[in-house]
Amino acid sequence: MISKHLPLTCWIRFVMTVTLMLTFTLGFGIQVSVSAKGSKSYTKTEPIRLDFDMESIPEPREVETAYLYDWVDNIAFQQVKQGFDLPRHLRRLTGRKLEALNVNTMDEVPNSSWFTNRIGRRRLSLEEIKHGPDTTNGPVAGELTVIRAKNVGAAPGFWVRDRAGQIYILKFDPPGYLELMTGAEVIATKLFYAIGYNVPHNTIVRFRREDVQISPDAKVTDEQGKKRIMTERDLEAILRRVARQPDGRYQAVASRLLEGKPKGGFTFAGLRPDDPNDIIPHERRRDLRGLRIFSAWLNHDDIRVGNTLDMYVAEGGRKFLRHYLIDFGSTFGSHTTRPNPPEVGHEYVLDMSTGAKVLFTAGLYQPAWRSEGHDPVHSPATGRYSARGFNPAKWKGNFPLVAFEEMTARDAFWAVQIIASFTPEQIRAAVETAEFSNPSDAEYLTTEIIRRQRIIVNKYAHQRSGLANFRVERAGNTDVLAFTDYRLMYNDERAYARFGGYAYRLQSVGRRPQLLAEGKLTGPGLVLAPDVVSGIRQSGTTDEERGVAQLVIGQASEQQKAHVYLYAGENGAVRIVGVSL
Amino acid sequence: MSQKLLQPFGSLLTLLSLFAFFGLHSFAQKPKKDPFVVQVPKNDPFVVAQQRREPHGASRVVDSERGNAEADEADLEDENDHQVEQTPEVSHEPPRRRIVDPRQTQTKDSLPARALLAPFRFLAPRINSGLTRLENQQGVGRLALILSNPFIRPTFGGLGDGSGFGAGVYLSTANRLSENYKLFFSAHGTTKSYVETLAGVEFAPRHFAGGRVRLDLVGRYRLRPEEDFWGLGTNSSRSDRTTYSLEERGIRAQSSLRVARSLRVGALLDYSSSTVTNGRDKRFPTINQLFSAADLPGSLSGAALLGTGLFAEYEGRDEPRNPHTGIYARFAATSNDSVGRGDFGFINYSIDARGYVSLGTKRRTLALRLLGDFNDPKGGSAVPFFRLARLGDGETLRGYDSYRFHGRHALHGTVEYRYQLASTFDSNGTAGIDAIAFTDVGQVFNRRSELSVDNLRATWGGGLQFSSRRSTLFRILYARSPEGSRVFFSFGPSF
Repeated sequence: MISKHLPLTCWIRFVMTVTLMLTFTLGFGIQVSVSAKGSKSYTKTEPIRLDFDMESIPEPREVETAYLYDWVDNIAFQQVKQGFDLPRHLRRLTGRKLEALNVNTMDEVPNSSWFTNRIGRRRLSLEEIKHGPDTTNGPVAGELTVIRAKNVGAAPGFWVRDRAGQIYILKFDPPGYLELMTGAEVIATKLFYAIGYNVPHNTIVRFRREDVQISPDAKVTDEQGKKRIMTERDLEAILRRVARQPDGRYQAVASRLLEGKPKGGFTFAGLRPDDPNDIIPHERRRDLRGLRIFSAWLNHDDIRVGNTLDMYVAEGGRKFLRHYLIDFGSTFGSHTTRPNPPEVGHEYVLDMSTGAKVLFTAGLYQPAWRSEGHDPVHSPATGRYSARGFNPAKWKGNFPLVAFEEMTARDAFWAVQIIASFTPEQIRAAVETAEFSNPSDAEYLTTEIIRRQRIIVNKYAHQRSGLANFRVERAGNTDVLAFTDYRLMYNDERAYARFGGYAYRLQSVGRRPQLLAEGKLTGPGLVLAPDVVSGIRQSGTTDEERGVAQLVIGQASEQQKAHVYLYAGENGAVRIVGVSL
Repeated sequence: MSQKLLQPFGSLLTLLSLFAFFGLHSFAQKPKKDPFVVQVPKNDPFVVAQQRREPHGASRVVDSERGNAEADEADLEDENDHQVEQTPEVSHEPPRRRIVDPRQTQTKDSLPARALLAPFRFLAPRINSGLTRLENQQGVGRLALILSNPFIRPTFGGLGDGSGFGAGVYLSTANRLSENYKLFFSAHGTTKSYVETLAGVEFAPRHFAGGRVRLDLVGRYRLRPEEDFWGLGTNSSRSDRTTYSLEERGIRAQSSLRVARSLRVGALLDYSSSTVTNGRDKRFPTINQLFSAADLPGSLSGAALLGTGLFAEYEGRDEPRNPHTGIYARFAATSNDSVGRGDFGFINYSIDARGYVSLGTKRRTLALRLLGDFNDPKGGSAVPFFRLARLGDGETLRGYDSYRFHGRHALHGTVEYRYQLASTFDSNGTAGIDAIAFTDVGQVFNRRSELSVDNLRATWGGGLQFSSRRSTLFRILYARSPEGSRVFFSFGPSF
């Protein structure tokens, strides 16, 4: 009807305008992504292994984040803000998200006040795994003095001081679920620490009622939110609400107070304005993006601002913020006060995307996981945690977090390498710290953690080349470039079926790369023969490029390739100066 | 006309493309130097501080990348290092390099985004501050405690359809005087001057008959100044809306015995004295202006009635305030006679039957309800018009106006389909947001012969309901009928 009255010129203008707009939009969307990938990927100097964000800063103010605000911020404010980020949408549409910023030329996350490479960089002993961040053996039973208590909210607890003067927060299992929360908290602490995060000291402690005394000036927060002097009756009231061992002892997780001054949690997007060291937007930190994979592995669904903590610490004569993950009571099968509801890990709290599907199908669609029988509670001590139906790519915490949404395949593959570093023995050692009274619970949890570990590795290794852990090894008189193929790490039958060896191409770097060598390999090792090394040494036209060659390598049957930059110096020794996975 | 409309649209698109160009251009700017080597911004207080503290490695690394170190060093000398405290330096520390250039990480929202986000930037800290204070002071818990205080607590909500929003107070001795009985008093008023006051005693001796006996004695006062009356029958005219005021004083004694786990039977004795006066709703004529007193018994003199009755109640729902499975039924028969004013006498039979079926999961529930209200006059006596059966409120024929239909009898059915959209991770999956689709069908009638499909009235609608595990908290419903539509907000449990 409209077309009858419109002249042709008007239509032409209309179509041209739309075309122009789309061209600009898409054109620049692509350019953004190209620029993100176009940065140089090697340096002949030592790669940055420490991102020094530990300069002295003025004392930041303490920021408290309410649980409700945390929720509103993540499901509303942050989502609205992201919604206005047009380039972000374009990048997502084109599958080219911005890569993380805190990554060195070896595709590693350097150490910082956020993250310390541990199991990803060296093999940890079983003792180290068990010990985790602990600096003591925990409070000594029989010498605990309660100095503060809370008997409101879902989980009661209190603060105690031991004979050494150390202060611990005691948190308990809910009635009927002995070892559920305490076990989860301790195991997650050990594993997150081994991964590289800063976590508090958490250990299991058992005590009898007579082992605890109340300090004369201990305060309790009552149901009215008022603080008053604590009495024996308050202590009894708290202990009535917690689970006990069959022998009558109370079991708790003792969390030692962190050193420094608490300054509130860190966000998963943006910067902390009063921390000059904080120059990398949190959504572009790989250690926070990759945390999504670790959280999926350990089912840390309650990951949010309120369960992180910035501590203003004094170290080496400097005062700065160190960033911690805290409170792992809602990990594995525990939902802190009960086993996980069926939705945990599958939906956000009030998940609108699932809700929309349900709404428009008039309720005929109900996700399978919402059924109690989909993934039943295994036992009171382990709750609802298994590898059944586990899809790490679809795992969700309680809230959407921007850093998690911005995770790229490279970030995920970085996390996968760390997760794959855990041996079954190390995982078992971490589980043992929960001191489950029933060995079958420990066995079950160990098995499921390992199964989820393998699912994660198989899932994300296939999104990249799967090759990593490149290193130059000496074999007799020649150097061999060895690597690990994560696609084949866990006997993935499909991966083996597709495997047809590795194809590689070695070329000089620069605008006009020259081929130095190419071929196929049957195993994860490339012999760097003298003539190849000589070719590398003589390659390049500028000082910066001289002696550097790029190795493009991957499984012969796959498109994705890893890029490794090799440098051969005058002495003929070859070393890796850059990796792009 | 359409051309005029399209031309500005074309211009708008042109502007948008320019916006897209410049907006995206800012995001598309590439780093010009190696991002893995620290680029020192001039006059950056942080880097200035960093360099001042760096005796050996880091400054050299940074400066070598800059190439104009000397000039910048001069600049640095002029900077005031007021942001960082003086701290002793450690000579054996690793190089203090950063993985990124701070300038590269500076992001700036586009102008439209900044404008749109401005309210959030303003609101967010304030909301956080308020919520934090609320949580720290146990605000939510305290509020819950206040609302559930057994001795004194506020009450909220209306007093029936069209009564407006109200609030009040409930006082009780709870178990302070005795575990076997409690005295209570409540007063509630609404924005439309509706008033209800109750006072009484609930006697439930714990150690008598196994705690199965209960006796209630309740006195009441009710004032309903803007009640609607539209005439009798389903064919009453919408233009005949009138208003009247009903004032009632009464007292009820009710005893009941739990004869089985879910079944309670009882008897009641009720006295009420009602007075009808002109309604206060100025928009409509009063009831006596449009209807004759002969057609509406009690419209002039009111009524004083004494009722005696029996009832039986079956409670078989899984969660009475937020049911997903089970059955609830109540049947009551009351004989009412005049005691003083008027010549009234009738027997009232009422039935309220509800069934809940989970469709494969508790997250999908089909709720059914059948309501019956029947008044049989005794001999030549009449039924006061204000005790007639009526339909059209928040639970019956929801798309119609307030109490749109009056008749001697009423029969009403509701089918409500509730399905969960989003969960709050309640352990049994019943808390969260539910979508609701419903239809109501009902009819008022004076004789059974009037019951027919033609006289049935129906409404339909949908909405959302917010529930905790134990109770429905809030509902918002849209209902539509041939005569229009209504929106309902309600707090507390529904049927």
